[in-house]
Amino acid sequence: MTGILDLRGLPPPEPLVRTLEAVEALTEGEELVVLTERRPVHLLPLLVERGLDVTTRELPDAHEIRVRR
Amino acid sequence: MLMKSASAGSGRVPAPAFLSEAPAPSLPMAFFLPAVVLLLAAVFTAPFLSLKMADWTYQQEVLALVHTVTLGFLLAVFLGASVQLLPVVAGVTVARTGLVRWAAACYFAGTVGMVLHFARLRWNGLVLSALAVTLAVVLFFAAVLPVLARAPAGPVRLSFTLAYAGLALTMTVGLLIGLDRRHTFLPGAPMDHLAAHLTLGLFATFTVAIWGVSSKLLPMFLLAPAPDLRRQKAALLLMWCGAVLLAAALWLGWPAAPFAALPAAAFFLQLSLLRRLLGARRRGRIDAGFRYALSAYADLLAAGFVGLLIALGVGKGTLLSLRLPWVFGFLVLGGWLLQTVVGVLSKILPFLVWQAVYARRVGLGPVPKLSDLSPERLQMAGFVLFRIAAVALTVALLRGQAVELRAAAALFAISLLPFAAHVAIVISHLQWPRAFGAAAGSQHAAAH
Repeated sequence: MTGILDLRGLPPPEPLVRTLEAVEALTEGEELVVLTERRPVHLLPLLVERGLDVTTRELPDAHEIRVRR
Repeated sequence: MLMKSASAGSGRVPAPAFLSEAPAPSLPMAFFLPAVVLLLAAVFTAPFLSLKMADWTYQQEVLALVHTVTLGFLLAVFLGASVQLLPVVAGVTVARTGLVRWAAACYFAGTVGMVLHFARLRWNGLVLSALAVTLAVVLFFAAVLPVLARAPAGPVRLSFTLAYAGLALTMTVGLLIGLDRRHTFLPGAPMDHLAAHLTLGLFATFTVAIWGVSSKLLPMFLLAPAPDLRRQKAALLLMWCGAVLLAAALWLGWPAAPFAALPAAAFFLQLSLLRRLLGARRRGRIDAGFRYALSAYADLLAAGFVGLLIALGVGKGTLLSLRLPWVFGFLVLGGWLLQTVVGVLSKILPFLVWQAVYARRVGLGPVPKLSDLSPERLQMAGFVLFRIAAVALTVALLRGQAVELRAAAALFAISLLPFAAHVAIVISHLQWPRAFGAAAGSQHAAAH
């Protein structure tokens, strides 16, 4: 199951906060797609620290982060 | 760089590299904290120099005071911001963090040495201290330039490149002026050399640095589209080239007014970018930090007007010609640069501290909002007080009465206390993280 969290238009550090809160609800095998306006340099290491599987991609109008537990 | 660009497509994120991409908060703090201490030392010394301020600008105590602000605060904050912002922009870590810490220690030792030797007017010690500052900046460049080289082309990279070049020129001219006082060898008038040194520092270094940092921070926090790249680059290049040409004209004793046209054009271009950015922002409320930074443009505009009066020789041969340089100097240094940097630092520090102390706990337990770190009322009171004090000191500098100058300088010093308290409260979270209850925690941070 994949959820989408569009966090574009939020000031820092709100995208980080909302993403970290959302990933805590992920169950094994679940994936969350997060869209942010800017490259989330502070968020990514925190996701990795929590043992989550993270891939990133730059889209024309957003940064996409796929997080899987 | 792990995060791939659009052309590189997607990428799995391995842990170690970007874990270190943003530096540990202690690295920029090594510059920020001594900078705030030196700023307070400078502003609380100023009221005791009221008699000097009622006289002309070129006095040893005034030189000491100005260098406490420029080197002790402004440049120190710029170096700290460089080490914080460049890795994030470039996606490349600062590998030589030890070198940066040595550079910070050497920098502040040299700066304090310079200030003390200025105050006692000991030129040998002054040149030695200036060499220590130079060494510190060289060490800093050695650590940071590899990161800058890998930053993507854009306003931040351009502004930092120009500001570093401006800094190198300013320091070279400063060293030459210092050596010239021992063994006269420079052609031209010493006051012209000083005017050139000042122009390079204030405009070719600090102003372009501020515009570059603003081009990143303002859209991020005000939720506005990034400024038009070509126009932003044009503003930066116009300001830098204009400031260097103006400095050359001042050095050579040429009429300054025609050479001031380029920096003036750069200012109005930057102002138009700022207006567009503010008009397109999606965040209505502007908090205290950005109020400082935005209202500083009014002081720069006023400084430009006063600078024009000086360049046109208004009041020549009268007392006004002694007062206008004071007003110009304060409007640029205090009204424009200091006010902007205070504002930007008011925004950066809570973010850094929140990131260091609380970000890891998000989702796992209650965390404070960014705005919980320090009372917004305190910052807003500081901003209002600063504006009142800045106007009072400008008027007092124009009138040149010692009693008024002492009172206005004291008010100006007091107006920076809320900022100092804000910094102290924010920093205290590093040492004593607050336990926030569930009601205050887990709320979405930064809902300002």
